[in-house]
Amino acid sequence: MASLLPDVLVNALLLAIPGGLIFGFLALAGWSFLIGPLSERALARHTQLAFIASALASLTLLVDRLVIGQPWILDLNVVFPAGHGLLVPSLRVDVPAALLLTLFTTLLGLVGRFSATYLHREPGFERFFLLLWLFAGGVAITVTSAGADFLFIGWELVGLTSALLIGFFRDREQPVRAGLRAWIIYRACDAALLTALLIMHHLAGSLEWQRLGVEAASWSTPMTWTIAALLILGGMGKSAQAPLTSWLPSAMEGPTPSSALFYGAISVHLGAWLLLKARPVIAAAPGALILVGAIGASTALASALIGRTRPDIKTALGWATSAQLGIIWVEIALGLETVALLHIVGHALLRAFQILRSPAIIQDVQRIHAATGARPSRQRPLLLPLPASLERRIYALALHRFYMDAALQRLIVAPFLALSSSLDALDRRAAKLACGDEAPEETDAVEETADAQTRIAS
Amino acid sequence: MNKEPSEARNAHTLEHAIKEALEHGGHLVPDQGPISVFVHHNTLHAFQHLPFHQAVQAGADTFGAAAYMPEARFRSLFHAGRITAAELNEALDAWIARQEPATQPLPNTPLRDLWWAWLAAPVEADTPGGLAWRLAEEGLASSLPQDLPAPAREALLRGGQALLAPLLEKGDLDGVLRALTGAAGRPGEEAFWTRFGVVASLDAARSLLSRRPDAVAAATLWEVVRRRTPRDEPAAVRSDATRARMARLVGEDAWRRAGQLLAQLSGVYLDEGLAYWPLQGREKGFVASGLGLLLDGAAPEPWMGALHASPALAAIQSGDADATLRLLLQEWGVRLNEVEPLILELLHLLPGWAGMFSRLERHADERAHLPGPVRLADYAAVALALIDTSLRWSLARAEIPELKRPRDVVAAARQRGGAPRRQGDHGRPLRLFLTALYVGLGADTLDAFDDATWSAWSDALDRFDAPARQSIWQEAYELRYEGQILSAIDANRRLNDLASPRQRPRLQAAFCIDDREESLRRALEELDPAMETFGIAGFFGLAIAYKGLDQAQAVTLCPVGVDPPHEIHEVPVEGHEHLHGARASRRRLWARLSGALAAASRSAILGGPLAVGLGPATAGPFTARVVAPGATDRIGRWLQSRFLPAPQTRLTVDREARTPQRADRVVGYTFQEQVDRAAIFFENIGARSGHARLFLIVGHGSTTQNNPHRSAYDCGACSGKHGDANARLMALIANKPEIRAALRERGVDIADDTWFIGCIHDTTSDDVRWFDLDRVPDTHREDLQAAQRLVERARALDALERCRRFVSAQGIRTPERALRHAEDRAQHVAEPRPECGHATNALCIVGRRALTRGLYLDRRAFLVSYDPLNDPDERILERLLAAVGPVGAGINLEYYFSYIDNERYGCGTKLPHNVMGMIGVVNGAEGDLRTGLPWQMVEIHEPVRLLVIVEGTPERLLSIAGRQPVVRELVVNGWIRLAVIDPESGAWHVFRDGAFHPSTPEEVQLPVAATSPAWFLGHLEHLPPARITAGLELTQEAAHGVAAA
Repeated sequence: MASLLPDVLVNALLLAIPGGLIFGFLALAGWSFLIGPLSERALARHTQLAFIASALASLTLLVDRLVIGQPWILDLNVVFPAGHGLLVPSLRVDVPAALLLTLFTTLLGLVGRFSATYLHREPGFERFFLLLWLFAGGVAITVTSAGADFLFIGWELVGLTSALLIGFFRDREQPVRAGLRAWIIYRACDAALLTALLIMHHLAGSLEWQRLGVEAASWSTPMTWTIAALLILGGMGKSAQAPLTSWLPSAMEGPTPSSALFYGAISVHLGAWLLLKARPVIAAAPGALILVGAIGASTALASALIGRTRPDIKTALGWATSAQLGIIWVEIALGLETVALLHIVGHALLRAFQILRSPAIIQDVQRIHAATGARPSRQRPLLLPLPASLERRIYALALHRFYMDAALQRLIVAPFLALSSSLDALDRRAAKLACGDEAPEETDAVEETADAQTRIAS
Repeated sequence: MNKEPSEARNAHTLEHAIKEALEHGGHLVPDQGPISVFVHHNTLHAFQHLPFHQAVQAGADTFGAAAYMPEARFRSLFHAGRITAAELNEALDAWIARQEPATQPLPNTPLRDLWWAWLAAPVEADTPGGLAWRLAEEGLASSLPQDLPAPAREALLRGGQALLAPLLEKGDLDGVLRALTGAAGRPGEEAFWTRFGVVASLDAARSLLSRRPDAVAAATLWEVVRRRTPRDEPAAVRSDATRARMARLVGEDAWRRAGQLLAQLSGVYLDEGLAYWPLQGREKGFVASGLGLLLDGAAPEPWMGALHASPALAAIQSGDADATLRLLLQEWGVRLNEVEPLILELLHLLPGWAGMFSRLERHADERAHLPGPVRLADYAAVALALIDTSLRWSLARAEIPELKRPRDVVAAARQRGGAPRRQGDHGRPLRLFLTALYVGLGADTLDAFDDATWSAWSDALDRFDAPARQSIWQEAYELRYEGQILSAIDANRRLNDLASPRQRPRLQAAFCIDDREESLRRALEELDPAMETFGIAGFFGLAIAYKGLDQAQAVTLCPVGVDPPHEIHEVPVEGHEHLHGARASRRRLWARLSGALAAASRSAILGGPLAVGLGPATAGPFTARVVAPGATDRIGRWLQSRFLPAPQTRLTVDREARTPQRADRVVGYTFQEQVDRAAIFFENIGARSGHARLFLIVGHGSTTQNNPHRSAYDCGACSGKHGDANARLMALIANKPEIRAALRERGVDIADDTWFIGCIHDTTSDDVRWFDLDRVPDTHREDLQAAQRLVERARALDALERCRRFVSAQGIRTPERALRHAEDRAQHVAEPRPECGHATNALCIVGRRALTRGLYLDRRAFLVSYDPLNDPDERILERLLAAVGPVGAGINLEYYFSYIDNERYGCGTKLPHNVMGMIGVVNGAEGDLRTGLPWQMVEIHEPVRLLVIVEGTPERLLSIAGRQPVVRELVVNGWIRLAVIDPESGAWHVFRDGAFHPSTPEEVQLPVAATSPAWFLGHLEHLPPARITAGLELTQEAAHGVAAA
């Protein structure tokens, strides 16, 4: 391995980015918990300093890798000589990772600066910034981990902070419900991802992507297909691919900057990142890439149509985001990895700014109106001229999100609830057998949960 | 099933009932137009015919909102000294005077003392849990509060002693336990341990009595109260709404599910161009096009499919809202007298959307030119059809034998509704206990009450319910400010020499009456004693529709409700047409390009390459705007000046043969119209002669970024727009020699060497722009330069004064830095508080500036210039009050309501807002339209009613009120507080309970400060009035005042 910089410096930078962010979160949270709330000013200043420092460190790594052109791997086994368990922490930085790391930390710094003003005097200011730190740490881990195991830890942190920030306004029902909905979809997909990791670890004895890619060729077809399907499902949740898309537009419940950061810029692109990493493994399953492409294409088509019917700016941008995520999936399926990477970079920047500026839509449209004398024209909402009745049918379908939610509800949520309620009945009968008549009657908690789930799903 | 006899079978009567219900209901939903034409209005305008205190209760019932600030907040203001005991007493006495005389319930304690004690007692526990929590956490029953008056404390200690001592002497342990814990035997012992932390025994009780007599006093008192107050004494609870009763009967809330879909459909139907692909077939109306979407093909969610089986299917398909409503109400078996409450409840399912339908139906001009009628009836029909559908689906699934159809549910709900649910009033024992504590009724005294005394006592407290208490607090809260201001103005008036002959001022300026201009006017006067300022509603009497050079359409620049007959266009001067052409085509090109890019970036296929290209390209500029907003804006303006030619322009002042944008308007004014308007302008401000060489007419507006509520910061007298055109136009008119000649005949004598200049003041960036400077005659160049230097310094001082209110600008101590900060704020994309708007407004003064000149009024006052000595038939005053009263009250009351209940009356925090259909904001992804003001706009507001002080006499005011019903309504019903000061004698009268009463403000020594910054710097809070001596030619008394300070 080569480097422009002294080895120890590269290692230090690579370790310092995720480590520093996680440590910073722990330190701030600990301070807040033990000593007292942090002042807005201190919190904002620390956040900006840390994010800017991370961005500069990432940029250094990027330049270094661009010149050298080879990946750099920091094997933490040397540091933690435990080594044979599931968790084999090692970090890896190559050009794509350094590029995304630079992009994401820069955006975090910018949005951090934006939020310090935007959330001024908001009661949840401290909570917001602590979650931002944790999220930044999760992102850095996800991007820099060399293996799937470590990636999963970052992945979980991202999911957790995402759900908590959707439900940022926790005294209202709708944000909490939208947060729960995203959380449930994350959970289901993370379970798939974890299962895939366990199987792969069992088969290969390691979770380093490079090694997995090589070993995957020797696995049986049913096995590769199982793994590929689970990995695809794992990425679908975070990248809001059809038919799991609708949590993304519904997630626009938190403060505007968190929506921009999570659902325009960073969090949603991590699904594509997983796919980029796991592509060799998925490719080992014959035809699995076609599935990836099909999922991406249908997401793009459906989202673009749905987004066009949205009369509000944030969900319109949300659907526009998932449309691009679909295209990125198609690019990955086609093997256009560099294109996908550039697409991620451009899209993350553009969408983040669009969401941050979304409250200005009225002024923007007024300005266009004043200059052109007309409202933005809507001559042909679809690319092709279609008969009016067909167009109307498609419009109705798009407004109803192509029944994605209804299908999920009918095919997954309802059977799952039915199963859980029959399990509950079984459980109660067993309890009755064991304890006689003193067994508790139908528990409220179960009912409430079921009720809550129905409502979340509906 | 038998049909009810009074059921609405007669279609005609039913139709009439529906119509009436919609008519009535349309006024009981928020009356706010599309957000881009936001104008302040009284949130409870529908209740303005009621007295204020009744109206806020009626509003609270209708909207489920608060009527006042919570009592705890008032109480903390009391402890902080913002409300004083004297004013609370005055308010309580005034309240008592309005009540029927009551008998004294207790022999030794006057009723008033009970009520007074209750005002001060922290009574907040309306649930069993809340009561238990307060007992446990605050140790209410085991110690006495610290803030008890000493006599009360002694009486309580004596009472506890008197009750417990005999029992201890007798050695009656059970009796002792009962007295101290309310239970005997083992439960009593356990409670004793929990309450006092010692094992129960006679000795323990004895030592308790000697060592902790306060614990004994509290515990015995509480147990007496608890024993004698029936546990489950019912308090009348409002009967539940139909929706809640239905939900309980069916087991799920059918309305909720319907409401979600209703919000989505309303969004696509009312969308004014946000969706790239709008709803088709809107010309058929909301019913046919909105519900038609669900009938086309399969419904996305199973319940929506039930719409196909709707009893009103045919009416829905033909888009007949009235028939849909009628058929469904008949099908539901709704009785005639139930139609109105049901429809009202229907509208309140999503009050924001219902309000928007109602508003646009009544104000069609506020709707963009889009197909499709907007009718409240359509909205109600869709709502009812969806609820019906959802309900039928719920019923089909619930399989409840006696509930098969919606009409069964309605009938069952009706039966339930007959007997409103009753629940124990858990606050009552606590209220009685706390009152007894604070008036010092010991346990023995209470124990000795006979039943009649007991119920008389407890009934007397019931009459003093929360609305009564809060109204007293509110009055006391306002009295404090009123007293302070009346004293200050009284003192200031005596210090200012009203009678001295006026010298010709060096510079004059007329501003909008807006409270935000008070500080700028004061700054100007402070900097130059020979400066004179005026206040007049910011459209300057010119009700126009204005089409600026860069605008495509004329906008109305006059108060809401006035339909201006005149259009004014801004056109390039001769010879500059080609510049205008180039400018317009470049702007058009840029707008088309940016519009197309924005749309394409959201599409699937073009979005990709665009993102790759545009993302990095926008990163730099956007970062710059976040990091250095002011500097980025300057670069942007520099670029504009390079690439956009700026032609010189003129306004079409005179009648011209141009085509107006609306056929019923004319372009420009005739000569006579110009004379009339100019005459009224000068009469209103009381400047008929002796004008300065330079006279500025200053409109105002605001610049904010990323802010859907932008319009709420602009000039309210110009329909929420910038008032630049009006100011410029008035200056152009007043500069004409022939107009001046005609004005002389009307008694307005403008010297030949006076020159008028129109300006606009940006209340966010504190920028001041000047118009038509190229026309200023050479003779006035020096005056102009002096004026510009003065304004330059004054606007920086204004920025400094504004910065004192921004928590994030506390370090700023110099005018220059303050100005930069203000400019940054105006350009900051992340700034939710670009300025404080009208927050803290509380005062309106109609009179000569001499009343207030030199007085620091903290940007809280609307200042209306008026010369009472030149208005023999009060014609001018009438004109002023008729315009200023509703506008001032509208602003003030919107802030009041948005502050006291920001979730119901306001639109909550800005942070999750999402622009919906260009007409409003919703919270997050979807839901109801949010109306009112965001929290960030009102958070520093003090919710007091506007105090209007008029220089005049009670007789004049009464005669004006007799002619102006709107003014009368506001004053008589107490929506504003009114005080008059006699122009000659300076005697005060205040309006209370329907009549003027003489009043003598407390004589105070006004605090004195050399300059405004010396008074305000370093203070974040509201500041009391002070006398600012800079800029005053000191009179004898004033000099004395300075020395005294």
